[in-house]
Amino acid sequence: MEPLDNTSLEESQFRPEKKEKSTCSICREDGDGYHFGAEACRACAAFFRRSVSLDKTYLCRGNNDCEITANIRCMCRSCRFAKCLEVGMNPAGVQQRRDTIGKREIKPDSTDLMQLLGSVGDGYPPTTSAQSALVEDLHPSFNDRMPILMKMRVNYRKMDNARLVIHRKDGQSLFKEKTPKAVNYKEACAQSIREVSLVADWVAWCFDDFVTLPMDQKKVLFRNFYTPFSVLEGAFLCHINDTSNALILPSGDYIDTNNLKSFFNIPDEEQPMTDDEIEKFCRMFKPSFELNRRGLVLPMMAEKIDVFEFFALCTFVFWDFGLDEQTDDCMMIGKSVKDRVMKELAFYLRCAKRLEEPSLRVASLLTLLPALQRCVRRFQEDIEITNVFNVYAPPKDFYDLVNGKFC
Amino acid sequence: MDSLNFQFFEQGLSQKETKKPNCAICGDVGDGHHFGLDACRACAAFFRRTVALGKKFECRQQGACKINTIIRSICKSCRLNKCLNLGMKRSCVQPRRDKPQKEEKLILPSMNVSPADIEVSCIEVPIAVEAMPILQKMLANYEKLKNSRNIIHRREGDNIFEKRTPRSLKFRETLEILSNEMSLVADWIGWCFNEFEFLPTDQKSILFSNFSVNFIVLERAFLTSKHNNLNQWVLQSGDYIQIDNLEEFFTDEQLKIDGTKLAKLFKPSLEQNDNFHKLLKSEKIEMYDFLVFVVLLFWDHGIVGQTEECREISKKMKSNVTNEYIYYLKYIQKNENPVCQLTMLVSILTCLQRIVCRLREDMSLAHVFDGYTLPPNLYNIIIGRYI
Repeated sequence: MEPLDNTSLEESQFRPEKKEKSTCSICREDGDGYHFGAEACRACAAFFRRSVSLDKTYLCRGNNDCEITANIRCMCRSCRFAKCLEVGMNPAGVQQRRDTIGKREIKPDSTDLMQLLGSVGDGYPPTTSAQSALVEDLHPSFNDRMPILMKMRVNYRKMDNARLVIHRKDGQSLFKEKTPKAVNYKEACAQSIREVSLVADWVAWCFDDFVTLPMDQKKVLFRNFYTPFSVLEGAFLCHINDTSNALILPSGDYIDTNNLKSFFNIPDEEQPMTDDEIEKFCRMFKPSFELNRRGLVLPMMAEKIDVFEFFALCTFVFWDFGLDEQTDDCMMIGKSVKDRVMKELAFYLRCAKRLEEPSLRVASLLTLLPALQRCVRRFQEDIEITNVFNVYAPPKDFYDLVNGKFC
Repeated sequence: MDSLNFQFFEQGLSQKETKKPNCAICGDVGDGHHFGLDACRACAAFFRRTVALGKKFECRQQGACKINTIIRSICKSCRLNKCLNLGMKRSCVQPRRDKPQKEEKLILPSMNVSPADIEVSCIEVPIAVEAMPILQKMLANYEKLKNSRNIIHRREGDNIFEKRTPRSLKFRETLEILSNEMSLVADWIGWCFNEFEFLPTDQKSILFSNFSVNFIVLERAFLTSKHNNLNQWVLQSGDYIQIDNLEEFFTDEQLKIDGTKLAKLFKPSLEQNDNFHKLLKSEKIEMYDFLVFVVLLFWDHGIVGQTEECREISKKMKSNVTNEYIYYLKYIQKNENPVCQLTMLVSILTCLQRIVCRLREDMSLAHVFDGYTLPPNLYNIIIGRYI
């Protein structure tokens, strides 16, 4: 805050410096120095501060590409705010509610509340600050330009909270912190089956277009989606927990891929397998876990995929096309949703991650999709083998689940 | 006398109470006649400044914005048009009535902006072969590949100098073409990528066996999507499969095989391929898109048995070609959203993967039923085993 009682001497001292000031990076008027992370004039800085502290949202009447220069009066506020974000202004730098006149009420604001929810909702506390950055939330200012991705984020937290409940074992306290443990084959199947309706609800709440589809098209999309999503999310959970030697499940438990014997050994089984049989299965399925690790987990770690990029990948997997029984209308809607999400992702990469060329990042991201398809295919073949040998016959509903024959 | 006085009083009242008309432009309280029209002080000043300073405005909408008291200043273009349409005259404005100091301040910003705009619009990125070395090399070698096919797929008695007439093929003839294609495509790949030649033999085999079936399906789909008749699937030799007459396609009189059963068996797969062809056609996939597909398919990573070194080369190759493709989209295609096009590309690839899986299953079925014994080398290629 500039002192109000400037003397004329101080004013005259400041006057020569003003001529040396840089240009506002938003409207190209004379700059006023660094504000919220970018060179800005007093007008744009004040505009940004008011927009953030008062939680303003704007709607562009054009195509979100209005020109923002000083000689345009009444410039579009939506595009002006977007340009503030593009040039690097950080909403977190704005002090909350400083414009309020009168007494200041002391109450928790949305940022603190979101952080509080975040620590509870993640379900898998991040191990390092670098891992925390991957699941960090964005300031609500980004809602205008990223409505779908932000909605997916909010609903994903809710799904994580729901998982704490549905994966709770009998007798386990809801409020006690859950200790992850290695699960066996039977337990993993049971957890996957419990997840189905939860994931279906999540998808329905994320995409408004999905709700408008006929029931048969909804089934076509979801059947094609669930198994790839499980594989993709499993890889993402391994990545954000910085673990490549285990397969982490949504419940927080894991499959110890270095000790597959514990996975295939079920102590209270009616006909327990001999050690030789267990050894055979470990040898048979080890390459599949390795394929998943090298094809998905390690590339995700190398690229440091974050949670919004994960949501973009989920969107591409969900709104697939070329499916049997898929109508042309359904394909057109899917293409439209994917285009919108791509624009949101490009905005995110430019404005939140500060990438100069989002296309390159998107290209790296998209190369994960063929790898995902291969992993899913391998997984389905493994289940097929298990079913044929009938030694570890999976429950019929799990078998149908993996092959997309459910709903 | 009394009545006369009363009349005078009445006249005085009515004169004093006379109001000026409202502004014809925005409807606000009027300020009298300005430049040929009843206008308020704000609209009059707006018109005077616009004319005196020679300003020009452009509407961001369709040029039909509403002008009223509250929003008259939102769109200057429509406001000015309304002034002119309702009768304000430019000639009535006296030039340069504003103070010289204000004139300078108002003129300078627009002068500052114009050169920058001109400079930006003048920048043109030259289209250069040097910017896309890999794709250009692939394109040149693909032309050679097409020329070679004219020779290799020549039928007995055909003159190599005459133009071939495409004809409808049967299943066995199709298999023969695909068998001939394999060594040709392998050679083409070797000449497109220098890095491929330096790999160990086992890594070459892994890459190519992963690639070959995908390429067969992709290229046939690409050629078919360029063809006018989607009921004819175009093969690499230029001949085609008449897809709406499958019984004929699968019938073999020599082996006395009736094609009806096989046609019914493979029908769902053919419908899936049909959708794929329509997808490529509707998305207007061009040659450069096709070549990028080839690179993404060939230089795969995460294949079982692939070494770390091979994987790194694959990543580098894909990254380089992606850069070239983004350059192509931005500066040659003038695509405003290269990111959306990239997404489309990868979505098509996942479609292709699904079709190849189905094809492998079909070939296994045909093999089991002994409907058609494939040549061993072709069967191994399709199943994914490579000698």
